[in-house]
Amino acid sequence: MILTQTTAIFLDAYRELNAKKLFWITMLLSGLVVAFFALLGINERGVSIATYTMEIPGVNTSFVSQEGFYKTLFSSFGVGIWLTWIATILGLVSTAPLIPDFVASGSVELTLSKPISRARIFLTKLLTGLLFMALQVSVFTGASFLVIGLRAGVWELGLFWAIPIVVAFFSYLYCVCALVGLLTRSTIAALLVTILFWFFLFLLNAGDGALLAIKTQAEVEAERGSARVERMVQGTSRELVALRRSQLPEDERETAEIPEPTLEEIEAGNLRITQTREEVARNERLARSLAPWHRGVLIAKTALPKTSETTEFLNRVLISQAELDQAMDNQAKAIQERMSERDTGAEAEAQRRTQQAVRDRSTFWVLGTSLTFVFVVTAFATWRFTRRDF
Amino acid sequence: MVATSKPDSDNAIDIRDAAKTYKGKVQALRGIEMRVHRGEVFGLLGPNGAGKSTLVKILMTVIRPTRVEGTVLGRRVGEKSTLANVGYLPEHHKFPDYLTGGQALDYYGALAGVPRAARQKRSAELLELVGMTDWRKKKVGGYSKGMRQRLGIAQALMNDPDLVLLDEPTDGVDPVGRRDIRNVLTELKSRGKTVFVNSHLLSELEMVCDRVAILVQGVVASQGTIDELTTQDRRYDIELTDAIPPDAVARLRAVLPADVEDRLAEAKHKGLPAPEAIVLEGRTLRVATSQADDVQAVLRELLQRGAVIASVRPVRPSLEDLFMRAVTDPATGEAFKPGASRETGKKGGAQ
Repeated sequence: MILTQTTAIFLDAYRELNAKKLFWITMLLSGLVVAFFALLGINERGVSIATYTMEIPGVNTSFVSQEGFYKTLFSSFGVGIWLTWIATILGLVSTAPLIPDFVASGSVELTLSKPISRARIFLTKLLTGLLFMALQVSVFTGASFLVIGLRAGVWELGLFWAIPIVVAFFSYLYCVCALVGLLTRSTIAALLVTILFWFFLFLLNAGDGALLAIKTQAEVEAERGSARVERMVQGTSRELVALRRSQLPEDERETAEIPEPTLEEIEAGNLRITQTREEVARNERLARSLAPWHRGVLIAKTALPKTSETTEFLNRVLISQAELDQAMDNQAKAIQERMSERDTGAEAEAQRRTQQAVRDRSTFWVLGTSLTFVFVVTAFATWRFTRRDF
Repeated sequence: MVATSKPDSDNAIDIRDAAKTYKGKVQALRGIEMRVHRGEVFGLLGPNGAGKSTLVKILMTVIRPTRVEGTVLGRRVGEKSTLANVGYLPEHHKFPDYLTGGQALDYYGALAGVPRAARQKRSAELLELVGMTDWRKKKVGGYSKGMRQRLGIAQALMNDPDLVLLDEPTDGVDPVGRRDIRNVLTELKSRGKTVFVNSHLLSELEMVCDRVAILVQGVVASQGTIDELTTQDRRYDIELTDAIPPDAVARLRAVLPADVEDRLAEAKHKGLPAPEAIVLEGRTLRVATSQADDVQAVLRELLQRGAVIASVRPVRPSLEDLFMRAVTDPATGEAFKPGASRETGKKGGAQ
């Protein structure tokens, strides 16, 4: 009986989505994105689109392998933009009515009066929404797998990690959508609150990214400044010793013991030391003042779904640390061409450390706590559904 | 929810002390006691807001009762597994517009746990029964209200239930459709099914129901067969050609058999509305008895007094009369205001 009922709910969800046409529109758009992938390529001069080659500095086979290009394209564009933005929005629009329509007056009574527990009905209904997304991602990933295999000769099974990762990403938003849909019985309200929630997560992520980047930049500047101060102190000290030696009579210059100059003497001898020290102190103060804010953002993020880190998780699977370091080096070289040597070093180092810090966030923190959020919201929605009068 | 009860083979529904208080302390039901015998057609009447749909929804687990004791098909009220043998047509039900009639029956049949092969056979039979075979492959979105209602009834029968609860089954249905639905109910009864009908259409119920209950502001005002419920109000109207003096009524009452007065006194004692034994209204005497024998003495007395009798006819109140009496406040003589709660009122009802 359970199988009969579950199959019926899945089939009904498919019919509902099919009737809305959005299922096939999303599928068609996914096909177009994959077709676009197939047209893109990389050669020794730049990025090719069908037969036309666009020369982009730092983006050619001298810097990036074909395999790396396609994997980055899939991860950054295919997943990072298409699946986790556009397809997710289409997915939410398609699936948002599932719960409000289901609990609409006159409709829900027909289902609740059947010999099937409320919790099972609700969870199965939720699952149909996730299955919609899983199906979309599976088709997209399967097609991308074929394109990358045929174009770059790389049969990267790791691409299929996109399916659970994107479904997990979608579930963060979908559980909120379902809860609001249940409480308000309104598709518009469910969509609106979900989009606002997503925007809030986006702001939180942006805050995290900005705070982390500024804090890291300040730390790197401070470290580098301290090292520079150290070097300047030693250099100035040597210069002062040499100067004093040169001021001695010629016959004493070789043998005379020249006392080490005091710090005050050194600082008086090189005004940049004091300036740099002040810069270091300023950067250290900045890093210290940002630290509690960043911790606060991280604590807030711990309780909430981590959308950007979840997407980044696919990069971890697809792009190895060595490949990432190589890419960072290439990026540093490209920056070097545009900026002064001093800025380049600090900026590249700060960027590398920021990326590393994001990468170092544990799987449990990224996926575990996010899925805990999904579990809690879903459990509350299910409890509410089982207790509610219709 | 409190409740465990031994299976009762005589009653399809046997509930006691069913109560539901919604948020805002709106008392929809205030201690309902009701029994529906197996194999009968039972009608539940009541004005808007009386709690009829709430009661049906409690039986179908759509609404959680504040408290209830009793059984449905011998199992505790609220037990989901019971619903495999129960069919339900909700009021104002809404099928998904994207389904065809056949798909809707298949879907709800599957949710009821009916195997695929049985669903196919059953849906064809039921569409035939409700006269919707030609619409099997048409989307429900294009159905009229009456057609949706017919499909709803077919849906309620997909699992070949022992008990069918129909909430306003004739709502929006034309006279031909209503007759068809009546025939379906009769057919179900002939197959030994128990049918519980919740309706405003009193004349419809009167034609098909074995027993009825009248629900007013969350309590059962009266319950029983239509004969039982109308016994108190049955009378004989004797029409005279000329008026008789009012004091003659006392003499006429004296010739009535004593058990008539006893019956009426007993009814009054039970708190039931009971009329005077004989009332004179213009040239018509109303004698409060359903027995022809009781009237003979009155007729003899009238003839001895030289009165000319124009006609004598037995009067049985209709279900509508019963209903109107139940929903009328005896204190004011006006109908109770629509709504669920009432400050005072009877609790439960007679079996």
